[in-house]
Amino acid sequence: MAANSKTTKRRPKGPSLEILKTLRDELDGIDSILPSISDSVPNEEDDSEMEITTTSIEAEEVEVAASALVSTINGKLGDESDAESFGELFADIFGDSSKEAELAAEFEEAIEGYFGDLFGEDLDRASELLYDLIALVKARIDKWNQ
Amino acid sequence: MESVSALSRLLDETANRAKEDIHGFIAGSSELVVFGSSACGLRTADSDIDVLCVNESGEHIRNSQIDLLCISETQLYSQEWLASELAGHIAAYGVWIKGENGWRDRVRFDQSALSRKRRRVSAYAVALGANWMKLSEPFKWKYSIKLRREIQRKLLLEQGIPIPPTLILDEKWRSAPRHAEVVDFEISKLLCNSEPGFSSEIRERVWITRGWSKYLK
Repeated sequence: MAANSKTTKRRPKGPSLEILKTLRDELDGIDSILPSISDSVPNEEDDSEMEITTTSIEAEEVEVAASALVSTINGKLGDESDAESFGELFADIFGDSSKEAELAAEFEEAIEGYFGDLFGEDLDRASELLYDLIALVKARIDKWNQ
Repeated sequence: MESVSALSRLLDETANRAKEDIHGFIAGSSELVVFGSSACGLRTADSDIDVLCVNESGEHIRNSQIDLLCISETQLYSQEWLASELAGHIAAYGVWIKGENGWRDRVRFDQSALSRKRRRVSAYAVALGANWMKLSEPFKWKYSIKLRREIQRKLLLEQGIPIPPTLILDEKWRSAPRHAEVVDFEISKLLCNSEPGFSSEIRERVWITRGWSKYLK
């Protein structure tokens, strides 16, 4: 028994591997519709900074895609989550005071905007936050695979 | 409209409960304007209080009890602000509880507010069409209502009419059959190139909510 317990892999705390993988895939899906962070990096051989093409991307598309993610994960979690928003979902999965919940709440604010252009949404900020969120989820998946 | 004294009291009570230093923003602002449902005397148990503060902080505090937006004096007299949907709403429905309403008569919609609204409505239609099958029931209802409200706002902006608080939009949707038909026609036009199943389902959901006494948030 003692020998067996030494070789048994410890299950990481928190959400299951299946939930983490689904979350990663869904987040990658949202990331694919946001302007890429790398698009704003200046080209060394060219003085002009590359424009981020935001004309074809609207925050509403990102907002609905985030709601679709919440629907998908809620469906997988069953009774474990009845989150009504992106921020709530990450708080349900990782805990209210987790870094993931904090980033998700900020992401929600960034895509929400306020009464039109003047206090508009910030898709570049949303893109950065999503990048960090995906990195955290991937790090958790790596823990499972170790 | 709600009285200045009632709104001042409401703001004071909300500030006492808030963890943020709302009293600091109140004291440091040259103008304070309450707008939205509170200003119109249409508060419900779920309502927050919407406040515009004129100061240099650039803060925006948003929680379940208060939505406090700070803008600077310079911004206040900019063309961008004066032509915005929010400025139009506040000029028409806001109650000044501190300072003068010197910019109120300068508010004029221009094409930018309308263009933004049209883009927003179209973006919702496209995104909902693409994600409809993935959305759970609560989200399907939520976005059916949201799309209808945004179309109502677009119709008002097209006529140069300031946007009223959401509860007034909802009431008009429920009680004015001719208006409801116009909105339904706008939705059908908007979704004419979408999957027929999606288009008919969302129109049906939008129509069903006319009979609801209270909508989802």
